[in-house]
Amino acid sequence: MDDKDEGSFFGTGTETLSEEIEDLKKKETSQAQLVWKRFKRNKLALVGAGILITLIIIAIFAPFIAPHDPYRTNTDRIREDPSWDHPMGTDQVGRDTLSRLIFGTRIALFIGLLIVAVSGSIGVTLGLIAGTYGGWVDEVIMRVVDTFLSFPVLIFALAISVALGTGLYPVIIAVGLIIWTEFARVTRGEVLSVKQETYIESAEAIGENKRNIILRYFLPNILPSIVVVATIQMPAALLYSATLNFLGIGAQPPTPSWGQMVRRGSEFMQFYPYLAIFASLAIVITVLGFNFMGDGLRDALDPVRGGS
Amino acid sequence: MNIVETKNLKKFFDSKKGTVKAVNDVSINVLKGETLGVVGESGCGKTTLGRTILRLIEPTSGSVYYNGRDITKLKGEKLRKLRKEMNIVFQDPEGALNPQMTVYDHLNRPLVIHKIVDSEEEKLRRMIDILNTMGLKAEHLIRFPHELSGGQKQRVCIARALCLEPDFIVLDEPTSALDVSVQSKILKLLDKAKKKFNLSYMFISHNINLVRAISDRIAVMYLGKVIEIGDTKEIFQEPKHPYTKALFESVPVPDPDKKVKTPLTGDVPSPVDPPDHCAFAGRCKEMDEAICNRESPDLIEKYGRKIACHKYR
Repeated sequence: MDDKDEGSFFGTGTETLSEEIEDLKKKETSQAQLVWKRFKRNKLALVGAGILITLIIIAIFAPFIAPHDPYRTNTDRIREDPSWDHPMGTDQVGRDTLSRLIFGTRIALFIGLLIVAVSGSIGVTLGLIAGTYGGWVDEVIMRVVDTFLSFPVLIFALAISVALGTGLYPVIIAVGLIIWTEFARVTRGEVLSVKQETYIESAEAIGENKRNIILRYFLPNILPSIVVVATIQMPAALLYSATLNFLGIGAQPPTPSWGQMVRRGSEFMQFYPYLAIFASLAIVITVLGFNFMGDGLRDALDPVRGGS
Repeated sequence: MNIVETKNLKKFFDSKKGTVKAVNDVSINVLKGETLGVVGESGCGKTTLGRTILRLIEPTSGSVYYNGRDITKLKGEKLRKLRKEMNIVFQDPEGALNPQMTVYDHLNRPLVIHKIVDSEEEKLRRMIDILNTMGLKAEHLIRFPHELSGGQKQRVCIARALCLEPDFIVLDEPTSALDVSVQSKILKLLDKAKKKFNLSYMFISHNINLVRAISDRIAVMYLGKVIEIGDTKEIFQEPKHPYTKALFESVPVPDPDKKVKTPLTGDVPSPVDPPDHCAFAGRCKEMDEAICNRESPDLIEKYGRKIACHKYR
């Protein structure tokens, strides 16, 4: 029965086959091209992507773009109003606000990306394990998540930061410990719902092993949701670290960081609002950029929602 | 020669209300090269039976034999190897395909997992051939499921089941989600595939006419049990079990002058803790007070078929 010549199903109409395959190869669009095609259609997403790309370029080329040295103080020109020389004015020790914002981009993006990458991978992995295996594994992981969720966020982050000392890394660890739970919860929930789908049973019926079911069936189908969480958590991470920064934890002066600048600016908000306003604007624009792009990315990654 | 055989197969589910006996002591066989039709009302355990046979769900007790070999306890790699030989086509083609995978991926995975082909060229050749046989074209390879119609999706599902050249396929209401014109095409394709491959089917359906047209033998299920099993023609000519009779009579006839018969009154008892006696007794017109409400009938050989009814002892 398995002999090719007798009763083989696969021997009909093959004359034009190689032509057809050639044709197909020409028509085939890769997954990346498809995602880009769908992403392009969402104008807001393009704006978001534009903002983020601009921010990344600013971060990389900060020394060339910044009009002044962000560290050079000038006590003769403190809290100056915006002018041609200092487009966003100067701060309480006469440093150029624009230059400091430009250099602050580096820290903001670095912190945001690192926190989301680290806590995202931990959260998604644990969520996948909890959702896939269920039972006591699920129970243990989700109770740990609950424990972390029950901490008041800022006080917990403060405690961690204080315990680990000052600097950037305690902030990353503290904020990361808060937001990984969201990744784990969403991933687990999505896995539980995808698990019920007939295509998972179909996958088992053709002999897929657990690892491939997770990687080829669970992960691609929950990716859009993870992207959403990431784009919500990314600005949250930025805000948390800015808040901690505002409270004096994290990047220490004179390192230019947005949170610090808002803090300093708010001290003399009534008679010199420029510093606080421009620093806050930088945070808001970045957060919006991530949100816009995240929305577009989610739709682009989901072939059903995004259309083709 | 049996390709598939079950012995006292049971599948119970625990629910809050009690134990749901979805498949309750089923012993049936599927002969090599035949189509066994499995009919019954919704919730009678047809689907669970099919999935339990394929080991997609674990039986509570009893055993499943494939080509005479006990596969009830197979695990891991050994069970996955068996997947090459038996497969399933689901009722709902919408849900049976991974929305993130193209048709190419869906046909590619089984071929890769079971290392069927050596070269990409050979693989594509095979995929396109089977798509053509299923009435689809090579260009469908690059399509995602949401770009296909329901009928096309089901064809892809069948192509996926067939591309490993299995010996046994469970068809779990493969056409009930499709409209009638597509139904007949799919049935023809299934028939064509069966002849070419020397396949054996287990055809699960609640559509009596469909089962009659496609099956060699029929098994009638009621509340987790097989109550009558035998040759299609004979059973249709002369159904013996009161439930089979009622079931066949309830098939609507396209004649407006004919009164619609309602041979079945009452509801199917809940599969949660079903009665110890004959489960059909409450709705049965030929019920015998003396025994039907006391004992559960066994499935016994009678008139060249098997019947589970106290009337035929």
